Amino acid sequence: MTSDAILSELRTLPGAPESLRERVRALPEPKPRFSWAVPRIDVRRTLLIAAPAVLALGFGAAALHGLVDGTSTGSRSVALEPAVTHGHSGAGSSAITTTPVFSAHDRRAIGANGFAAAPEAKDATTLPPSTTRLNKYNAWLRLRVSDDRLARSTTRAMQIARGYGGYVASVDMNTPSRRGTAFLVLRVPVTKVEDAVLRLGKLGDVAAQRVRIQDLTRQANTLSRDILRLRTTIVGLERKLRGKLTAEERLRVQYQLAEAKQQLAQKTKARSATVREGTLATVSLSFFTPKAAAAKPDRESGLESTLRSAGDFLLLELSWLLYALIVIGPIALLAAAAVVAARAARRRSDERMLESA
Amino acid sequence: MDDVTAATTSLPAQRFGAARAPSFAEAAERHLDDVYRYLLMLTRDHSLAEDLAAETFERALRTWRRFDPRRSSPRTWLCTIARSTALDHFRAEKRRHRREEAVSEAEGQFEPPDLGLSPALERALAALSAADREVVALRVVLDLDAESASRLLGISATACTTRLSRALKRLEELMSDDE
Repeated sequence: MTSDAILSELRTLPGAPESLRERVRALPEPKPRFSWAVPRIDVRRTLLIAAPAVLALGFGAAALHGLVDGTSTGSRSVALEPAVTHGHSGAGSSAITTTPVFSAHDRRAIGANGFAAAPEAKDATTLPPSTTRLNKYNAWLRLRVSDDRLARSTTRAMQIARGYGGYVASVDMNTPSRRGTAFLVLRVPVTKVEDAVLRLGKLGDVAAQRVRIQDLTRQANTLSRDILRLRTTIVGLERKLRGKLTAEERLRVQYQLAEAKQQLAQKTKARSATVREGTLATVSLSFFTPKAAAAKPDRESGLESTLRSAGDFLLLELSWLLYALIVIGPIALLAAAAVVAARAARRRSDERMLESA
Repeated sequence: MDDVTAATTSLPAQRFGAARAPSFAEAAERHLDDVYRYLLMLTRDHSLAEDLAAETFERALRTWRRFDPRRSSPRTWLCTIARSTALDHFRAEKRRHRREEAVSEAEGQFEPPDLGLSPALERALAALSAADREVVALRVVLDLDAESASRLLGISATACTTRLSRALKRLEELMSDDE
């Protein structure tokens, strides 16, 4: 018998008997779908719609964040300008931070938030320290100098400090590929700091400045009173020791004397430090060249800020996505592997069943 | 056939418009013979095939709402249910045989039933495994294409073709031996 003959004969296999046909016909029609029934989810179609939707949502959220946050970031960049603050420096501080003397133009440049906004080039202005009181004087100057004058201005600043009897606490000059910056910390006698700041300000165009004066007189006076009191106590205790005392009393007085002397030494040291602080002012100088300023713009345009903020948010979204993938990925992979394994096992079982049937 | 016509006219509007979903009655009437022949080839027993076919359509009725004409034809879908029904039956039979084997001697020689084919072909079919008879039923008797048959069997199209070729060759050999 040929294959064709076998196939032909197989196709003549009888159909369903009438009894079965009647049984099937007797089956009722299935109930109609409920209107609230959850529709079947076509994975491909869902992915085709969901993927662009998620992408659009992500980009939209980033753009919105950029628009909202970009504006506020722009104003923050102004706040990050070299600060010229005024008013009291903070709660609980005894410092008196006085308002630097600004020109009318500078005053206009100072916004409602009290920060200076990129002042034009000008000479340094300064506040005179009190001649009758002990002051801790700190001055910060940010000066713009030309490329070729950076080194010369730095050297000159050091000379000025030394010329007034002060010294250079630290120098940090950086001139990579002509984009130079230099930072100096100078200590100058308070009595001459006014002149020194004026002269230092002439080394370049003042981009920003800040002066902070903290009154140390009260602190020094308190220490002086403590010292006087301790000296009186010591004299009294020494006198007591010279008199007649029992061994126990002598021991107690000796202990009190030693303690008073120790306190006196501490207070004297503290007073000396306070006086030293009030004697030498600290002047922090920051030189920068125009190219260095251009390399790191102080202010961003609205569009740049928006784009940067949107980019940051997009990166944040990507990091969330990555985190989710890292956390959920292995679990999903295991679940998928379990499903595949279960299906394969079921299929093998079916195959074995049919092979043996 | 009047019932079928009535059922067809009461079809709900196509939801997606891509493929026309027949009514259950229409699908049952059209594919009853195919399902029966498939089960007959698988079981080689008229009464069992009838019972399993009836059970298949009862199951199909219960799950008809889940049938998606875009994913498969009604015939393939019904054959999938028939396969599942037959496998459940084979499993139950196997368990029953195990229990019976534990308490009694093996049954006598099983007489092959009359399928309405030539005795030689019936003997040859009896010598084939159910898996081989199944692929012959799907590809030859029901004339399903390789893709549909392979999807129904849960194997690749190549494996399905190989299995069919092997089954037909074996069938031919058995028939030749018989002659």
